[in-house]
Amino acid sequence: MKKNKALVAPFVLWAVLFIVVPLVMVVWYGVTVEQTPAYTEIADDNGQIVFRLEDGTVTPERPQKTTVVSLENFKRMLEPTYLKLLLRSLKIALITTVICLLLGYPVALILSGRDFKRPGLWLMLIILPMWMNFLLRTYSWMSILENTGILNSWIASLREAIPAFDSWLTSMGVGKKIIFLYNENAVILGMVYNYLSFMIMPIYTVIEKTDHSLLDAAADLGASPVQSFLRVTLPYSLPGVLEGITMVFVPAVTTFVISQLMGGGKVPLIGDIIQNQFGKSSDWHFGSTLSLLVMVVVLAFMGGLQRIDKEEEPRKEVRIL
Amino acid sequence: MKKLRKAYIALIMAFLYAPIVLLILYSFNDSKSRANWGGFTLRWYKELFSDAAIMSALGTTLSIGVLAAVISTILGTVGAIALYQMKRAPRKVLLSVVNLPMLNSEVVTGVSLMLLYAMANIQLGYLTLLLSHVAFCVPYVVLSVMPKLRQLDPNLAEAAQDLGATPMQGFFKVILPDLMPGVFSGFIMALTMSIDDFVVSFFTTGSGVSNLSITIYTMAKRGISPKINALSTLIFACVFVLLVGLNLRDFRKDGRSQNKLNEVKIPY
Amino acid sequence: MKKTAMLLLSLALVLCPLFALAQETISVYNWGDYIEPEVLTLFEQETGIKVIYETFETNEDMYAKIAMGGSSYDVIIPSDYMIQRMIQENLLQKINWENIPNVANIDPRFMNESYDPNSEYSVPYTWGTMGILYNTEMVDEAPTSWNTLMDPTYTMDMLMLNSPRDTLAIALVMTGHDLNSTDPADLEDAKNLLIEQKPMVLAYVVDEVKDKMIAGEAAVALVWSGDATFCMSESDELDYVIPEEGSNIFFDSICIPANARNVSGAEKFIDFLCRGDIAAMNYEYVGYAIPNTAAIDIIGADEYNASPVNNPPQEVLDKCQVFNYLGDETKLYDQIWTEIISEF
Repeated sequence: MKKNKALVAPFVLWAVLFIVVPLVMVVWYGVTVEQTPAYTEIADDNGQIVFRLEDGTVTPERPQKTTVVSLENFKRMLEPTYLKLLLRSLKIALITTVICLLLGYPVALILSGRDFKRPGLWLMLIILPMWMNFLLRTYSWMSILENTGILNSWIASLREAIPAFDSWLTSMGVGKKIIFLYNENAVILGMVYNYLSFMIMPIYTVIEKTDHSLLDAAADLGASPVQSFLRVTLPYSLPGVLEGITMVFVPAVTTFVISQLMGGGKVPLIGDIIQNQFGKSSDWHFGSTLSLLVMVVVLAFMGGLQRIDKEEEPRKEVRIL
Repeated sequence: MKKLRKAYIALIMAFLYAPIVLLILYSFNDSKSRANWGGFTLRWYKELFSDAAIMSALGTTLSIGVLAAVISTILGTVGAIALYQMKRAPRKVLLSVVNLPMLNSEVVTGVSLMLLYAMANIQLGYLTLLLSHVAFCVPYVVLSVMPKLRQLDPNLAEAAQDLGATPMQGFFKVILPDLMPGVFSGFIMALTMSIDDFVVSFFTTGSGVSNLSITIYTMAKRGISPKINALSTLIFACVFVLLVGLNLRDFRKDGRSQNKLNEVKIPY
Repeated sequence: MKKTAMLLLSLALVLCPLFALAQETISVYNWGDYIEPEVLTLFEQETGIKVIYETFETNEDMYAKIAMGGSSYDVIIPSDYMIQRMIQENLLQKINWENIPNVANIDPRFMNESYDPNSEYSVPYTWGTMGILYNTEMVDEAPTSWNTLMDPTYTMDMLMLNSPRDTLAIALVMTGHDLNSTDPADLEDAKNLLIEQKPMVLAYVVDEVKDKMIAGEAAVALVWSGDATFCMSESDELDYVIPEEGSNIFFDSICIPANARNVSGAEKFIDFLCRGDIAAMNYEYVGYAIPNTAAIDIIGADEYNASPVNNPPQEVLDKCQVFNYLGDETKLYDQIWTEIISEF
C-alpha cells in the first residue's frame, strides 16, 4: 500500500504526548520529594516574626518547599506496611482471577457447544450487565448484603415465620443480623461480580473459533469427551484464557472503589493507598512511587503470561450470532 | 447432562442479574429504605429528571463518549495504518507504547494524565476529560483495526490507482470499506470504555464537569437515594434495547448465520 | 442578501462576548452543596455582580488547583489547616476589614483562632466538631465519653471515620495527648488504641456513615457535626454528643486568594455572606453551625440552640482544638493510619 509517511509522524507525536510523557511524569514524581528546610519561628529585635534556618541564617521570608531528587519514597515503599498491602492486593486479585476462571470457563464451554441453541442471546445477556455502571452494580450488592439490607431482612422475616429456623440459627451462634459485608470475602465477591464477564468473553471467542472438525476427528479416533476436552479444546483455548486472566487480574490489583465500599475500609488495597496519596494525604510523589511499583508488578506478570502464549494475533473478535 | 449445563448457565445468570433485578424493583419502591417495600411509585423517576446534576452528568457522559469515540476512531485508524507501514522494529516499539494504557492499571493512567495537565498548567475540566478519554480509547481502536489491515489484499490500492483513482480516492473507496468492520468495532469499544469510565475520569476532570460514574460516586456520599435505582433501570432499559437492536437480525435464526454482522466485534 | 446576513451574524457573535465582559463578575470556589442557591441570585440582583460558582470535594483538590496557578478565584472557602498552609505559602491576601462592616456580626469566640491568629486572612463561614452520633433505640444509655467507642457492648456495632487525620486525632485525645501532636511516642499510643479497637469496628467509612446510621446499620458512629445534623433530620432515633474529654473543632472560612482578580467584588460578596439575614438563609440550607450572631437572632436562639450540634456546653468547647497544618509530618499520620488499617 503506497501510503504517505505523513500519517506516521502525527500519530507518533500523539502517542508520545499522551502516553510516554505522562508516564515520564509519573517516574519524575516518583523519584522526587518536596522538602521544606527545617526552621524555627523567632521574634527579632523589632518584634517581627522571622525564621531561623538550621545553619543559623535568619530570613524574614518563611522558607518554602523545594523539589529534590530522592529515593526515599522507594525506601518507604519497601517498608513492611506497604509491601504487606501489595501482597494482600495481589492475593485478592489472584483469588478473584481464579474464581472467575473456574466459574467462567464452563460458561464459555457450554455456550460454544455445538448443540447449544442461540448462544448469541446468552452472550448478550452476559455482556449486558457490563454496560451498566459498575458503581451502581456494586452499590446494589451493598443493598443486598448490608446489616439492614435485603438479605438480612428476608432472613429476619423467615426467622419470625419459622421458629424452628430461628432456633437453629441461634444455636449456631448467629446473631440478630448477619454481617456479610466489611471483610475480605465481600471484596472478593464484589470483584468477581464485576469482572466475571471479562473472563467469559475472551475464552468464548477462542473456543468458538476452534475448528470443530478437530473434535470430530478426535472422537473418531476414539477419544472420550473428557480426553477431547483436555487434548484439543483446552490447549486451543489457552490464548483466550490468558487474555481473560489479564483482563481480570490487572484491574483487580488496582481497584479502589470496590474495596472501600464492600470492605468498609477494613480491606485496604494498594489502589486505595495510591488514591489517598492523590487526595487527602496530598503526597503525589509517594503516590507516583507506588504507582510505579504497581506498574512494574503488572508488567512483570504480563511478561510471564506472554511467555506462555506466543501468539501475536490479538483476540478481540467476538461473533455475535 | 444437558440439563446440568442449562442449570449452570441459569445459575450464573442469576448471580449476574440478582442485584440488577433488585435495583430495578426498588426503583419503584415508595420508601427510601433499601430493604422494605413501601408501595409502587414513579416519584424517583420524576426526581431523577428534575435533578440537574444527574442530567448534566448524563449529558457529559454521552457527549464525551461520542466525541471521544469519534476522535479516537479516526486517530486510532490513522495509527493502525501508520503502524502497518512501519518497519518491524520500530513497529514493535510503537505497538508496545500504544498498548501501555491498556495494560496499565487505570489508576496509573489517570494519575499520569493528571500530572501531564498539571505540568502543562491546563485547568482540569471538559477538555482534559475528553483528551484523557481519547488517550485510553485509541489503543482499543488500533487493536481493532490492525487485524483487518493484515487481512487486506495489498494489491487493491494499486489496482484502484491503475484504474485512474487518486491515492485519496483509492483509500476512501477501496481500502476503508474493507477496514470498516474493524473501524466500527473499534468505535463501539471506545464508546463503551468511555461511557463506563470512572477511575481515569476521577483523576482528570474538574471545574464541576463530571460524568455519570463520578456523579454517582459523589451522590452516594450524600446518601444513596432511590433516584440512583431509577437511573440504573433506565440505563439498563436503553442498553437492553440497543443490544437487542444490534442482534435482532441474527438471533431469530439458529445462531450461526453468515450475516455481515458476524464480523462486528462486541466490546467487552 | 446571504452575505449581509452572514456579516451581521458574525458581528453579533463577536460582540456577544464583549457584552459578557461588560458585566462585573466574581469567581467563587466552595465546597459542594455548601450554599443556598438563592443567596447567589440575591447577591447578583443587589450588586449586579455575576457569580461564577465552582465546587470542590476536598481541601486538597482545592489546594492543588490554586497552587498550580492555572485558575484564579476571588473567593474561596477552605478549612482551617488548609488556610494555615496557604498563609504560610503566601497564597492568600490580607482582608481589608474596613470594606467588610458585617464582620461585626461574627461571634468573637470564633475569631483569632490558631490557624489565623489575628484574623487577617479569613472570616469563619461555618464551624463544626467531631463527636459521637448514636441511635437512641440501640444504646443502653446516652454516651458522654469517647470511651464508648472502646466499649465491647458495641462490638461490630460502631462506625469509625476512614480518615487518617480525624480518627488519629480522636485517638490522641483518648490517650490524653494533644491532637496536633507529631511526637512519635504519642502517635504510637494512638495507633495501639486504634488497633485494639479494630476488631470491634463494623466499618471505616466516610460519607456512607450518614446512610448507614439513618438505616440503623450501627449503634454509634464517629462523625462530623454537619453529617450528624443531616442524619438527625432524617431519623428521630439519632442524637449527637461531643464527649466531655474534648474534640476537634473545625472551621470553614472565607478567604481571598493572593491572585484574585476582583478584590472589591470579593469583599462585597464576603460582606454579603456576613449579613444576618443572608447567613440565616444559608444556615437553613447548609445545616452546619454558623458563627454569625445576627443570623442566630433572626433564626431564633431557642430554635438554633435546640440542636446539640449548634450549642455544645462551653466547657466542652474550650477543650476542642483546631487542626494545625502538619507540613511534612502529614506523611507520618498517613503511614501510621496505613499500618492500622492493614493489621490483619
